[in-house]
Amino acid sequence: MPSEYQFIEHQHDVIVIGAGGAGLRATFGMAEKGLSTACITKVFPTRSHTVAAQGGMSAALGNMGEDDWRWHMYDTIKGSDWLGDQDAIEYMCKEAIPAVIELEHYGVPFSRTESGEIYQRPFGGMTTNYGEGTAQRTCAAADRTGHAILHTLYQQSLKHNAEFLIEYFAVDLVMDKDGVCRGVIAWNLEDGTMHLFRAHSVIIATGGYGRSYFSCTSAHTCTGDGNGMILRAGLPLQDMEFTQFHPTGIYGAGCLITEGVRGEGGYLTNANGERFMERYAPNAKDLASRDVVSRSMTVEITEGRGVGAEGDHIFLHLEHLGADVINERLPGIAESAEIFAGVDVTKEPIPVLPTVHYNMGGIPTNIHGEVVTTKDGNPDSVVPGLMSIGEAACVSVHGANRLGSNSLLDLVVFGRAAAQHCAATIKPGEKHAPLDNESTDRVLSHFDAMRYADGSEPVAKIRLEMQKTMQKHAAVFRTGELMNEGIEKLEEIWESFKHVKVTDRSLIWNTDLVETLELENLLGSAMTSIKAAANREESRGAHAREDFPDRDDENWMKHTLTWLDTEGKVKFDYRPVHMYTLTDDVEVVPPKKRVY
Amino acid sequence: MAKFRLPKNSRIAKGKTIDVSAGTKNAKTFKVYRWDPDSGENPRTDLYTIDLDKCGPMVLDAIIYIKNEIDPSLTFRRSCREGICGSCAMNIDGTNTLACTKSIKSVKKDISIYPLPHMQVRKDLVPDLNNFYKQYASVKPWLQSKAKAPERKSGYRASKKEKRSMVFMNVYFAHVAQPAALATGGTATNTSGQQHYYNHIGGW
Repeated sequence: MPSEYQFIEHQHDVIVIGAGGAGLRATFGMAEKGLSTACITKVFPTRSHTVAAQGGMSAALGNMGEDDWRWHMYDTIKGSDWLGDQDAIEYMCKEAIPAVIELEHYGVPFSRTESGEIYQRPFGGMTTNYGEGTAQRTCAAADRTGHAILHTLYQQSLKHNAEFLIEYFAVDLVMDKDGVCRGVIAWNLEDGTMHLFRAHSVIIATGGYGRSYFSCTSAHTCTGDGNGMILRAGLPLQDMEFTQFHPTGIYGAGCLITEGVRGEGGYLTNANGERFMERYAPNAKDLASRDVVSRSMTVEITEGRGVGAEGDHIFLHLEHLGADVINERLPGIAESAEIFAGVDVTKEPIPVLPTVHYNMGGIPTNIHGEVVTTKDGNPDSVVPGLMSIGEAACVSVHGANRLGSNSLLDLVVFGRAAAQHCAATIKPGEKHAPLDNESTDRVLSHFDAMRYADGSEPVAKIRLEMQKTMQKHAAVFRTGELMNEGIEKLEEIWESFKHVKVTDRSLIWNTDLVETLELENLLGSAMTSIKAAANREESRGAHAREDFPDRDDENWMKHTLTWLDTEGKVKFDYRPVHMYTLTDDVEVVPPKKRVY
Repeated sequence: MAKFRLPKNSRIAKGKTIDVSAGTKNAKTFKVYRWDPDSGENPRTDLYTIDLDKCGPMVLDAIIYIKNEIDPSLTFRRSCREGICGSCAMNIDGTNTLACTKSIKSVKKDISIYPLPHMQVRKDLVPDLNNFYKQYASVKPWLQSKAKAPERKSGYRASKKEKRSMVFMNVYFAHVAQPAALATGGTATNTSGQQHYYNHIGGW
């Protein structure tokens, strides 16, 4: 081991990597139950990207009209294009109601109705009576719900006895030779020291990997660090071919404009001023599922009906809602549109474009948040010592496409579930097994090699090439030819990363090195995504192929598992979709044609 | 009037001047505070002149461009780039603001970029925020209630007009506008600073 690095060792019962919605909920959930808990985060908790979530969190409270969690479950299964695991979806939709009340009791300042109840707005794909009417299910705090929830969760976490290691970059998992996760190695940016955290369970809550694309609503920090760690540990990622393009990112800047705009009555028009969603989704119209809307917008643009000088985007109208409604319910996007598009939303439409927003794929887990893999024919083989929650995980509750307002729900429900599972299975203070040096030396050697990398390619250049490749070759509409071209390019880019150049050699706040490690993680997510996409020969949810335009339940109703080696080569396997429910409270929803 | 001079090792020296604008008319110069904790040198200000056609419209875009194209060791915090997370708070053209929502065109001359004032610097534009975090924790910012939570399924009934005076965004610049509170360094609740910012963002 490079002698320059000395470990500071920490012993805990559990470690959480990531302090967004899921990470924070799990952290204080475990601390509350008496487990010695530490949370490692590369940014201050309230800077995590959960803070940028706008529209809301769905739960069948029924404040604005009759509602039922079974309708929510049906909507989510249909939204997932029948790739979601129905037992997990049942669990999430049932738990939604107590989860929102719990948040409310924590102090989240939800918007209120005249009678003082939590305000709920309509959202894409959310219906009453199994698709009949539009449901008002999305609990909102103006259009800054993620901000409200994350700040409240951080405030709650200060009440509990969890240790926060802020601005520590998690470098890699410590896996022993039996494939058991024993801890994490993290780098303290503040003083440059290296830390070894021992834990009985490491919970990965590191979010998505939107930054593998050129244009995304994601923060700069969304670099799939957890995904990278899993791949390097020789474990697979699940359903990586499914990337959600949110219909309304601001044209140019890519900043998010919430689906809540359409929920409050906003609509999309093309160059002819036509509300084109009426053609593509006669029932739901602008509130169809996100993948449907994004595809519709892309078709309108490709067929020459886009707006603007280049005819390359669409208009989102909310002028008709009036200043009062906009100021009360959508003040955040009014400001965003002004700053990033120069538009006064009370007078003019916002120029928008489908923009990469969410990753349905990620680390495969079961309903408790335990990481699973296929082993000896068992598709649910638990990896000891490892769990994952939030966008980083793939339970799967979102299947091939996520409904809006289901992610904030996913975070708190499974954050809490993970905490409960740890409390039930880990004895506080249990001693850690001794660790051999090989597990840690490997990680440090790699870190050291990256720190002194002296190739010819700057990080920014490789990153931009990867982003442009993904943007062009793994977009809303895909073909085998286009994806294979992209794979060739990405393989070259993968090679070029071996010649990366890091300029800053220091250990203190070396963001040049941070971005290099993040790029390594992004490349892993990008490679598995595009290869899994080329592999899946059907269209389902967000994965739309012009050469295989139909859904093929006979051959493809299964989750894809993708392993990645150091040469960028992949191996595939599959796991069955859970077509069974958790309890007898509800029946399985059999697959049918997905129309909105 | 008393004059203050910074201690010798804190005095800001003149740094490098780098021009990559290739003589374009649409060029802009950024004067950026730099300090490397490993070098043992004094802080300095570097001048970077860039072609604005090559980068986005906000000051953060320019800083990222400088990092990507000129000096990868330029260090700063950033995340959401849309004005909601608060990471990129810094002092731009003399005012504490977010780099991601500060448009380059809004500053007529050269743009000066410094870390948030009155705070120890970790490196370049990254200040040490630990004291700020401790002060935030010291006000016990979680919801505290004497009454028990109601049992009804929809939770509390709160009037629409009711607003909670919580600090959102933890943006330090309103906080650091009161150096006196900082000077005590103790557990000053600084609620007036929080209220100032709360009012500034228009509340809920």
